Amino acid sequence: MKASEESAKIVESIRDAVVATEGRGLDDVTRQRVHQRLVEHLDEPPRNNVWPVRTAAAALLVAGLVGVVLWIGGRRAAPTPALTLKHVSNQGHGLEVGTRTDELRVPDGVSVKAKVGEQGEVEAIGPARVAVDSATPGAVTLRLERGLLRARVNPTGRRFEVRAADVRVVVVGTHFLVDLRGGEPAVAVAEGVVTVLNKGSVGPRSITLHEGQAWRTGQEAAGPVPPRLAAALGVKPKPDPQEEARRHPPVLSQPPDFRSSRPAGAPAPPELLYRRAEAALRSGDRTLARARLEQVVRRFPDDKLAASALYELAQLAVRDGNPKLAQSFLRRLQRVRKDPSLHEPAHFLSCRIAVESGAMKGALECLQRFRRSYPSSPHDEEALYALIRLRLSRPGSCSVAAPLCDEYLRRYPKGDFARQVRRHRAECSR
Amino acid sequence: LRRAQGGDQQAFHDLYQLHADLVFRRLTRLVGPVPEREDLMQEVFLRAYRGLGSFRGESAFSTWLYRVVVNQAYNHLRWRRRHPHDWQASPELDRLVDEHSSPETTARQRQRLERVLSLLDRLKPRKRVAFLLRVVDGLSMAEIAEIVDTTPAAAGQRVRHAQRELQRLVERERRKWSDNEGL
Repeated sequence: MKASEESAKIVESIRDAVVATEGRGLDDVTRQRVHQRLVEHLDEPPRNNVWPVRTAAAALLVAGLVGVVLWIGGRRAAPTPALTLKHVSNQGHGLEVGTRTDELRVPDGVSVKAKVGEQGEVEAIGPARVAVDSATPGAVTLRLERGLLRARVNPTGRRFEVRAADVRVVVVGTHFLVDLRGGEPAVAVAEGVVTVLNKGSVGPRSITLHEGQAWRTGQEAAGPVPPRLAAALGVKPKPDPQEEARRHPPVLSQPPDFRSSRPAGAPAPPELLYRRAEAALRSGDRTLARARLEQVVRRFPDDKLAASALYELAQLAVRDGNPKLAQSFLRRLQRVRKDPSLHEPAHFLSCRIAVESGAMKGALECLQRFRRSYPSSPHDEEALYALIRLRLSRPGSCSVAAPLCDEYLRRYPKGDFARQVRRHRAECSR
Repeated sequence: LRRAQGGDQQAFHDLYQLHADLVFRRLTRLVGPVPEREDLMQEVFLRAYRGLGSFRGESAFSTWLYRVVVNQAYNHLRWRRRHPHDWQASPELDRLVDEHSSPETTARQRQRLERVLSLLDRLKPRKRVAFLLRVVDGLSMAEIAEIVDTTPAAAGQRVRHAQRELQRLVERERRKWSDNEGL
């Protein structure tokens, strides 16, 4: 094969793969989440000018000085270490409170608490060694090389990961520990949900652990937290639920009360429940995700997260092939006045469900209403194309479809469906 | 746009709704499906909001916004040269492969994505971005030059270098692995 052909083939292959990485693009919940975070940061008014010259000159001078100092010191500039030592049980081992580091070497008999940015807090119980694999505002990955690590991750924090031997523990808002003292990792959860990805050759590849559950390499399924780990985790060991049920059969069948495991007067915040639902979704546990989302809606109907939960529930119902249930969630979402920002995607999802379920009249009305209510919606192009398709599905309806085609081509000449719309338009002109 | 430039937050929210999909798609193309995309997207819109005053309408708003995206992508890719992303362990790739395919096909698709993304990670950010703008977005050298703030000739050189480097890397990989399906 000629070199140019070879090169073209490589380029084509890379292009296909890069386009494939886009997947389904930006989902509505992410769009909304970023939007909410943006709203929180938009307090400062936009700057009207680029940097003033003096500021730029001062910045250059400072950068130059820093460069000279680093050059003299023979050091390379490094990113700020991710761990800030907060408490050391027995100082004097080179571990001082306030130190920032990317590696913790904790000697025997010493325990060190460190803050991990805004993500949360970890505690290494010596002898232990913990290193930061990577740390960004969005994700933190720690590596436990030996010993025991206890972690408390903020529910508002983003991705948090601990790696130990062949095991990866992925968490979103929780209190857990990873124990590598016996050589093989064990994971125990006091609060929240973690997903353990097992790259070893023994045991399941992925396992989801909930409150009061633990798992050790080699085990096929999660079990209750053993007393040794419960002590390290700072919780009371819970009896095996089956054993407990045998000893004390329930008198009344009551729905499980999430708050019962929390101190009185401290209900689980909606964010925590929502994060748990997200974690369950990520791990593929739809039943648990649905239960958590329903809890958010039931317990916090006035919270803005109730709208997000209803939207997720509708999407789950669509995936389960239950369009009626999905529509009922979306109708409820439209009644949540606290956060109307999800009304637009919910309305569009409702129209898509109507189109897919073949309810032509309902779908037509839904799409027309949607376009009237949200003329500058990012979904308008798709809604317009769906309308054209619906109109054309009836024979002899070109007179209605043609103006819609014209509108599409005027508004979205380079749109995703422009080619098809041009073809439809040409067919109508014949 | 004019209202947003005047500090009208509602107008900026409308701009966000209009451009969010495009920005996310462009970021994904440039940096890959990494979990940090959300943060990058937030940063892109924050910078756009704060820099709206400097937008004088000499180019289309989407081109100007693309420049902000590219600058954020540069920052992230530079950071990633020091902290490489582990594509093999990346759960984001699981969501991109066709879950209805056979396990073998799924594994092959995933492996192909891992390989391509790892290859791209070995390019310098400037070469990577120019190459992707050319090959994936199909932009002309003049358009690339406008977005990455350079001359068309320099943009062309970056694309050619990237292409040559990728070819070398693929050949090296081929020698290393007998299984070279997909590339």
